[in-house]
Amino acid sequence: MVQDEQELKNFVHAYLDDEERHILLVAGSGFDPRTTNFPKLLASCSKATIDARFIVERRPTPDPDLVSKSESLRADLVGFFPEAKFDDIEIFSSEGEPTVVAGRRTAALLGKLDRSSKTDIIIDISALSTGVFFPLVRGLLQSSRPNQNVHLVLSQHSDLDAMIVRKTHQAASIAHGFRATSDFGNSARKVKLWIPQLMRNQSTSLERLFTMYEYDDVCPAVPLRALAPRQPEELVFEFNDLFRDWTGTSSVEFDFRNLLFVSEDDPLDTYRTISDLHQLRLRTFEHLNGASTILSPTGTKVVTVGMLMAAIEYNLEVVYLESVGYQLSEKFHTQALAPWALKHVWLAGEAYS
Amino acid sequence: MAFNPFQKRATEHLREDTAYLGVVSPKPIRHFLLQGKDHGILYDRLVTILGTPGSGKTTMARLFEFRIVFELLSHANQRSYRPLIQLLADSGAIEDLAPKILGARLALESDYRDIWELPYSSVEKSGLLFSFVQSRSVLTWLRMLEDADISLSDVKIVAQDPGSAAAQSIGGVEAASVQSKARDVESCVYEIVASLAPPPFGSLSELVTQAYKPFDVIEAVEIPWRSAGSLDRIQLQPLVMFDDAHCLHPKQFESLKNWMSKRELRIARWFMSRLDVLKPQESLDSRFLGTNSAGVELPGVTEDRDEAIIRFQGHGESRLDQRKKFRYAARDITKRALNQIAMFSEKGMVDLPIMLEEAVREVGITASAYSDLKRKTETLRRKKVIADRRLEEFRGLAKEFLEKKGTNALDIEEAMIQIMAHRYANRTPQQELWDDDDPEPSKPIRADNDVYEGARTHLHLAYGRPLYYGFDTLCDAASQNTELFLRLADVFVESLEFKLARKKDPGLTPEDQDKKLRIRSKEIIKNWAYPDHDLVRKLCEGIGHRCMKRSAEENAPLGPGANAYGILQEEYDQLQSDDSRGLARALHFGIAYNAFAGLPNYECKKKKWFLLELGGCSIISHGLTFLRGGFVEGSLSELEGFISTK
Repeated sequence: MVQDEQELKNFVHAYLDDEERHILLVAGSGFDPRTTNFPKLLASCSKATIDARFIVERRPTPDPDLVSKSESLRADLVGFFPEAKFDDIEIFSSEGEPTVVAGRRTAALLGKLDRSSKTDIIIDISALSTGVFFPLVRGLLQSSRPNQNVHLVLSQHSDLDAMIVRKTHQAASIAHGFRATSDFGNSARKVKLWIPQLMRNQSTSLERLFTMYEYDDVCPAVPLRALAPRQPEELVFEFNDLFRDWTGTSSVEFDFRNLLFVSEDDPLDTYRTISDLHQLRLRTFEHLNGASTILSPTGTKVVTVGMLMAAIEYNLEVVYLESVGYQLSEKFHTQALAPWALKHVWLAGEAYS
Repeated sequence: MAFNPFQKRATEHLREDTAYLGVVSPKPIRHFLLQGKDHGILYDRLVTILGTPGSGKTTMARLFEFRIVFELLSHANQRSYRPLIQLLADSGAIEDLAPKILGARLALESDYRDIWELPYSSVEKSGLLFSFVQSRSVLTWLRMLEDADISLSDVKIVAQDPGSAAAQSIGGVEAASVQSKARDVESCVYEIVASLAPPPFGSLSELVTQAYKPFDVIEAVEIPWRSAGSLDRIQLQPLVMFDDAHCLHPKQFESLKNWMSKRELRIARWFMSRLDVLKPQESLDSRFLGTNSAGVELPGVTEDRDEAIIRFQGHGESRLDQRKKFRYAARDITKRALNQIAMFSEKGMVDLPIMLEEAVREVGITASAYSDLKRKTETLRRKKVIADRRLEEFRGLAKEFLEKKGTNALDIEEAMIQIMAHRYANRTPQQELWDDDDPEPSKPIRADNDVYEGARTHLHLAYGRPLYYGFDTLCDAASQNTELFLRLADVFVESLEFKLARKKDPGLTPEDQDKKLRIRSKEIIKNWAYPDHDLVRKLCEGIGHRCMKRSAEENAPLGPGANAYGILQEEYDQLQSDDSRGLARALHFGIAYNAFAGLPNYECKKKKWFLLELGGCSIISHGLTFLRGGFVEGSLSELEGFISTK
């Protein structure tokens, strides 16, 4: 079940704000201006009991401007939830070659979250990165009781996503908890499909992700947005050289018919598109060596959530490039931002019982 | 679209063995691996192979994979395969057209490093790592045989003691059961690594908690082999090549390496790693940084009873010889790569050097720039009060030198005169103190190669005269790194392909080459993406600017100019090795990723220096010379300043 902002506001006030509701909010505390968006809404509840846990992602040598932005937003969060706890998560291990440990550190945090008495667990991924919220959502879903509600919320803003410039790690990582089963040493290998998400200024990241495996097919997910009808064309134009390069240096024969057009407003569209494709390929290659689908969420969060849902349901592998650091582009300081939109995905619980 | 080997260093991603064999060149492998040594050391002890990314370690390892060896031997009559077969024979991997080793490459990527993050003790984690590495090695060896259509029912494992418990623990001596056991162990460890929340160690399966030591048990692998019409059985020595060993946690690396150093092991084992596996204090240590200018050379292959270390780049011979050998190998690599592109091979145009023109026009700069240059000579004459006769003498010297060089470049002639005039002015007393209107300089002024190269650098920096053209320059720009060479050559190949497609003469003028190389170099630097690359970039920027300023000095005191930064060796030795976030790390990664080279104990002006020589791309992007020897003097504190700039 997916709700837009107005429906979510109604839901918070009509459903969550009840004396019988015991809510665990897990969210990010960072520099992203969306950090406080949902916590502020939830803090307006006067009847429900709310435990708030905020994850602070720690990366080496952060931009001082972003650190001060984070501190200011953190003060706001404390204002909303004076009893809130903040947990630091190291994204990289500094021992030897920098290695991504975000997922494992997040999984370790799961054990410290008291969920037993909660009726609702809400994960706000607006200010969390892929390497953290993928294992977080999977872990919370796996350990949830029957009828315990698990909600995912996010503040969607494609323009803001594009203004946050990521410096990415040089090596691709597998999201913790999202590895495929091993077929090491098997001569009969599965046919591999890779579905990366296209996003502006991410061609270098995609190029690096491509070298992770020997893929047989690539079907990039191209987000469609009602307010930006030319976006798909611009993306395809930007990535055209890369597509050509893949065809030139590997056995992948890229064809523009491989593009998967997915809605940037509805995570279920991405989820359904990937589900259909994966199931079709499982049937097609059933009597050969089987098929596997690998996802790479590298763009806006609504599409990423669709990928997350498909990955959890079908145990798909997720490869991504961790961010070493962030910077805000010039546009962030000069361009007025349109308001962002909240989304709510009800992942498990009473709605499905 | 057809495969283009220039667009990416693609050998790791070439799934088809025949495609790989079409592009791999035996020359650099022979150069690095054998180096005139007995090939025996490759298989009887631990071999550590160190090199920068893209130096060709994986390309080399792939040649020793059994599947590739088998492919070569199956088509031994094919002419293009003969140099590779000869190389394998010289390195002891084959004998009489039969394989001697069973090579398998294992990339030690994140799966292995993740074991270190499990919530177990160091000993438990090492045990899991060893089981994982061994099971995957066994699976890869057997898969190599299956890929070569050798049925596992015909394969026997030769064990030290076939009846022992140790042999039974690996699945016995039948290949199928050994494979089955290895698969069980591998799956079990993998599941632990993959699980969101790892189970307590006490609840793990016996598969991973009990002894599993195929490396200790296996002596050889016996397979059927058909030669000269008869079917024989031959024994192969297993070889495991650990690629990207730097990905391991330092403690994992150390423990795995210590174990692999055991002399009792019968299997051959190679450890391949980037330099960054060394700790900063090791990688910056003079012992690891190659030859020095005084000709005191460190061996290319360091060997002792337990370990042989082979370094790709920077060791074992004079640096001039390294450049020459790389140019030789690069020609072969280019030829093979162009042969893979139909547009070139169909027209027989596979010799890149002859397509890169080296003759610059009589005046290699614009007409207005040339007029400006001439005006400067006149201004110089007036300001420094140099007699016309003296200037004419310099002109005569420059002309004579250029004639001998076989060129009549008028702009270079003018720039040489200016350098000589500045040197003259520096070597004569102030004019107003003496009556003589044409005093003799304290030291004679010559038009030599220093002045000539200085003039070329000056013209490039001031007027953009082409400096980077010709095949040798392309090779030098690559800093003896094959991947970088291909990425730089790609800009030329792309243009030449376009010209061929339009039925134009394939050839690139020096102006074209210079412009394309400058653009590509900047792109490459911009796309650096390794640990602390932003700090390394700042270091290169700071050093580059200092070198540029020095190179542009009017009397060209360093001749062609500077491309390196010198710190007194004693000051460099004080560099805090535990400076894990600052300069030491930036230097460590800069050297490991070829952004610059570290040259310790360089003797100059009766002092010892540590030189940081900029890599090819930084040299080009700052308009500096490739000729070595010129450096700017600096200090650690200045380097600290470079990296702390915003």
